[in-house]
Amino acid sequence: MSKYVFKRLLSGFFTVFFIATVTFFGMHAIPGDPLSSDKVMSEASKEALNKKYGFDKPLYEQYFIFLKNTAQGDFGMSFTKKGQDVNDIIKQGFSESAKLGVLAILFAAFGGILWGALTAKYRNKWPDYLIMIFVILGISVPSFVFASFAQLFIVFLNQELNLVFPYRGDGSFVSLLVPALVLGLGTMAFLTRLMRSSLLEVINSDFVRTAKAKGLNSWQIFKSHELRNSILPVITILGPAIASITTGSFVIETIFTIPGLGKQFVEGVQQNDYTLIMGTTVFYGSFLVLMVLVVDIVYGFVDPRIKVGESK
Amino acid sequence: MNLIEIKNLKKFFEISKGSFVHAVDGISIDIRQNEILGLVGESGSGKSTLGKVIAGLHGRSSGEVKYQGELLPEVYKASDFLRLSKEIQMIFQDPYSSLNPRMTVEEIIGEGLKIQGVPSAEVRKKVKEWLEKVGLQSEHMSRFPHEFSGGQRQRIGIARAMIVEPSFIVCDEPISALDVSVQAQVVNLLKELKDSFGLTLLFIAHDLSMVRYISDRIAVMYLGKIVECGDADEVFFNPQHPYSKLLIDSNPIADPQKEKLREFKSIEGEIPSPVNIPEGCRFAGRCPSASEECGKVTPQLKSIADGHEVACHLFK
Amino acid sequence: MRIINRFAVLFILLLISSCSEQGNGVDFNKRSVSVIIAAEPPTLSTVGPVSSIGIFFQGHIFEGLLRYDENNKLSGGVAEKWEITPEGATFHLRKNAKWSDGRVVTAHDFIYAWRLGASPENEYNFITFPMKNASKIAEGKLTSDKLGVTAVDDFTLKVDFEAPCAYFPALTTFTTYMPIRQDSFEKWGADKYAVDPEKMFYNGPFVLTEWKHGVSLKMTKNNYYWDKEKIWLNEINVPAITDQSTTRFNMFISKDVCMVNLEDSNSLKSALKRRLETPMKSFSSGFISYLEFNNREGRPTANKNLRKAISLVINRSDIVNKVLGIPGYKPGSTMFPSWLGGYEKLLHEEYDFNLPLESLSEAQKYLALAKEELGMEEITLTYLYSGGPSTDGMAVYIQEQLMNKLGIKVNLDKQIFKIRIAKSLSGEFDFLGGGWGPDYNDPMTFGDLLASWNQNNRGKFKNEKYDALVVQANNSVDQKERMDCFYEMHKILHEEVPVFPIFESGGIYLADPRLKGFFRNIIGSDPQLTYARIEEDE
Ligand SMILES: Nc1ncnc2c1ncn2[C@@H]1O[C@H](COP(=O)(O)OP(=O)(O)OP(=O)(O)O)[C@@H](O)[C@H]1O
Ligand SMILES: [Mg+2]
Repeated sequence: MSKYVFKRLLSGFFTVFFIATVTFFGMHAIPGDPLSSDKVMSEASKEALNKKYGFDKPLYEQYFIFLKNTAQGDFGMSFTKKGQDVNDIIKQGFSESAKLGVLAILFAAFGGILWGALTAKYRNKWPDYLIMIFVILGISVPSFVFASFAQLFIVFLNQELNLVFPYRGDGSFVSLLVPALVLGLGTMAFLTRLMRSSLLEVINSDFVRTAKAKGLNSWQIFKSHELRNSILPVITILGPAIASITTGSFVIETIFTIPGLGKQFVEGVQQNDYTLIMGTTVFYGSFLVLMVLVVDIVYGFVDPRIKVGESK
Repeated sequence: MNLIEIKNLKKFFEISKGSFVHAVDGISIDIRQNEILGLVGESGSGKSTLGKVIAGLHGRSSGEVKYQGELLPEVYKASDFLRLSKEIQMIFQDPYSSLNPRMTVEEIIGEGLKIQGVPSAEVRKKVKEWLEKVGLQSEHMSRFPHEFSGGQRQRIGIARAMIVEPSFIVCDEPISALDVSVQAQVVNLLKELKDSFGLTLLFIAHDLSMVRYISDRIAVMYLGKIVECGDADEVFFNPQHPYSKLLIDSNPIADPQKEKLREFKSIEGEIPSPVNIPEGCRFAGRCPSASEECGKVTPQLKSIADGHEVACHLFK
Repeated sequence: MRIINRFAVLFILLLISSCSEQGNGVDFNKRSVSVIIAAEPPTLSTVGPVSSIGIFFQGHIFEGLLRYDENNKLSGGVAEKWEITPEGATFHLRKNAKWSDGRVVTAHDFIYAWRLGASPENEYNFITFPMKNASKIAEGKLTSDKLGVTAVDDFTLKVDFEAPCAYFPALTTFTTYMPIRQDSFEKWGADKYAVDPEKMFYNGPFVLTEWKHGVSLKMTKNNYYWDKEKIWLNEINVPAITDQSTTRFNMFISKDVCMVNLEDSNSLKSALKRRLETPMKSFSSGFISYLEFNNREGRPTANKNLRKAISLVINRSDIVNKVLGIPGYKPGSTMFPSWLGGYEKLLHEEYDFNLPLESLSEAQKYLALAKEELGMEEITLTYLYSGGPSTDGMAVYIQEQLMNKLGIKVNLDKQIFKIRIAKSLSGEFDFLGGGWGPDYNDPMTFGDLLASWNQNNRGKFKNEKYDALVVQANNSVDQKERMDCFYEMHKILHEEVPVFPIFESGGIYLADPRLKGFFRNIIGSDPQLTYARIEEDE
């Protein structure tokens, strides 16, 4: 097991290294740099600034400097956010994004399981049809549409009913609920569909019949037999879901004014903020690699037939 | 004394609007205390359905099922399951798919007791006991089903059914998925258990010789109906219904020498669809001695000798 | 069920407890207003990088020699008197202008800031060029202590011009001309100066008291400000930062901010539908948008007849009204937008900038000429642009017009902003969607854009007469003569079409009706809230 984890971590390290390298050179290959702006600056200014930020050095040298600093866990200073350490930006941004992301995953997982179970139980009856319509909506409509709509709706309700329910992130926990729900919606819809089909398979299986023969009631059967056997896909997509939720959070974050990392990353890309781009890329990469590993290990706990770390 | 009394039991499945599968179509039979009733018949004749209706896993369409004189509910509620699962249990055909792959052996076997409210220490003890009784070891408790062979799994299935100490068990082809070499072991285990616990069994099987070996009586089913019923040896060595005759003749003989010499007779024709039941005797279409009457009137079970009943117009 | 009930109760309690008090877009009792911004300022250092959002803050927390007063008229800031000649200007500083720690603002604070501003490391150093030696300093040929500014004494600042600069007094309101405290700047260093409230001193009407990066900012009245009697507001809050216009609109609807621009059609529609008691007002952003043709050798657009043909088939008012449909935009036929001041009144009131256009049929004639001169049968052009859906619409419109009316195929090259800039500098385009905003309040900020030496002249247009007019306007302090020059420049552009102006951008905004005394500015802080006050609720 520990050998397996080590192996995975090592390969993850190379993955991140590869991503970082490609991003680094890709980023520099794109025309423009953090210093380019609407108004042209003089050659002398450009030279002075290039020198100040080390852009006058050959690219490979800049690359090695980047590697060296990254190895020491230092992503340097942001180019466009003066005086701010990229490390600090990531730390702060991620703590916001993580709160939002965890909530979103919880919503998505619970919602997906609940709705999936309902559709399977009432398959081909109206609750099934109704929920599946929402599922299709949830999968096909991009989350920012829901986000704008949800915000507008809250603002409308607040006005009509004289409430002050938070319609944007103001740092409170309650203000994260709606954004998280919206953020998790796509994944929730996807999970509902997945859960439905895997439950349908399980519901008709022999061991469910056995459970019935044991005298279990339907809740007991659902809880300890059907759910336990159909939840695997949920865990399988948890890795990709975490990825899509953390990267998809950008629009939600801007709409709901949550100062998360997704927002910082996109701003970095828009501004050609080299250090910020590299920092967030390496961070996201490592985070995802780790998440997928964790999910794989959890997988082994849930399905005893899968032995983590053993080849088939 | 009869433990189970079944009267005119019917179970139809609606497969589409207005069209029904007549899986069990008017069966009346009694199962005596402490006997093993063997139930044979071709695939699709409704054996499993009958077994499941008795065990409450299917509601019935009409008719009566009495257990110890008590009329069982037509459709079980959760409380009925809880109550009756202590009395009537079922062992399933496929030992692979009928055990939850995500549960340990302990959980699988113990769950039935646990939901009865038995404290977990007690459950654990019982599970250990039963593992040993069915010929497994108590260390097996923490393992998962996929780590066992088919025979071992069926033992787990048996332990699972037996742990609540029921008085009646429906064994739905408990050995048909097993290797021939282990079939006998499992059958013997069931026999032993029956003797030491005073069980009553409904033993469903394909393999006639195995049925004869274990059963006290045998019932032959064809397309949702019982066509012949009687003492095991009587039905096996002296079958009267043309279908029983053919069924028993087609049974492979254990002695390979004889088996080779035997002229192989298969039952000609296909079993009719259980959706569109033919008028008259259901076997008439495939029966070598069918008469005109067979195509019109459905024959009823009639006693032709002591305890030997046949449903055929050949016996007036 | 019991559990569900309990959760419901808990949830409702949570909601109630989380509810903050009613929106505080304007708060009469606290004398505070809240505004929303689209992006975080990269820094508040006045030596750059310069950003319009930075200028919003800088215009409240710093003060230059001159400022715009409560009537938005140019008046004394740190300087109480000034004199200007063709050779230079002298500013007399008031003795009661103080920094936020009580220290007096002196001429040296300006000299320190301006020398930094002229240095090569300030990308905006061109704004200092009217001062003697500034451009040489920017090029690194002279050290910054050679800049043409000296302190006669602590309270007298003398500026030597490189060339006559009639608009220099107005220029001193610009960010780069604001004073910097040497001790603070040296303590934190160029990179960390003015990136947190405690990392700078303030001499403006307000001080920055809170800056949660990426989240919120807050300015509070400066008790050391010399003219603090005129400042009614105690607080200016920036509760959030978002580039989502719908969110900003929702914040206004929820009364959490005092003002909002209606930047997308949805907000506008919903503002109309709600029949808000707030009247809609328009503002000009000062920007002009235009197509800029590539005059580099070898480019088909270097051909004047081709440019003329193209200019005749593109209808400005169609673009503004039918394609963009953004309220507040107006068709612009000149590089000198209509809000610019002339010698007495507005420039557009003094000269006619709507010169007659030739008829559409002439376009074919020009096209035929162009094809002959170029020796081309088929013409394919690349249109370089960036931006959102509205610029896409404009690109498609242009593509269709050129194809339908002239048979010219246009390839669209849409890029993100920074790449567009890079490509436009290297000349990888035939024409591009460009825009220009003013740096100071004088037509020259637009006029010298197309001077052949101007680096921002992306199409490399070169016209000797035009260049001469720029020089003449630069060297004169006679405003009438200068304005005549600008009008002549306009005529040349009209004839040569190195650029094809399309619109002047602006917008519609809503402001809380109780909010008075603020300005929407083209140059300087926008909005300018220094003299704002709130009317009491009835
Ligand atoms: N849940 C169900 N829904 C619809 N039809 C069913 C259902 N269960 C059984 N049937 C049908 O009822 C008939 C009897 O099936 P059953 O499983 O009882 O036969 P069997 O005698 O046990 O056969 P086998 O020997 O193959 O196990 C078959 O035609 C089958 O298709
Ligand atoms: Mg069966």
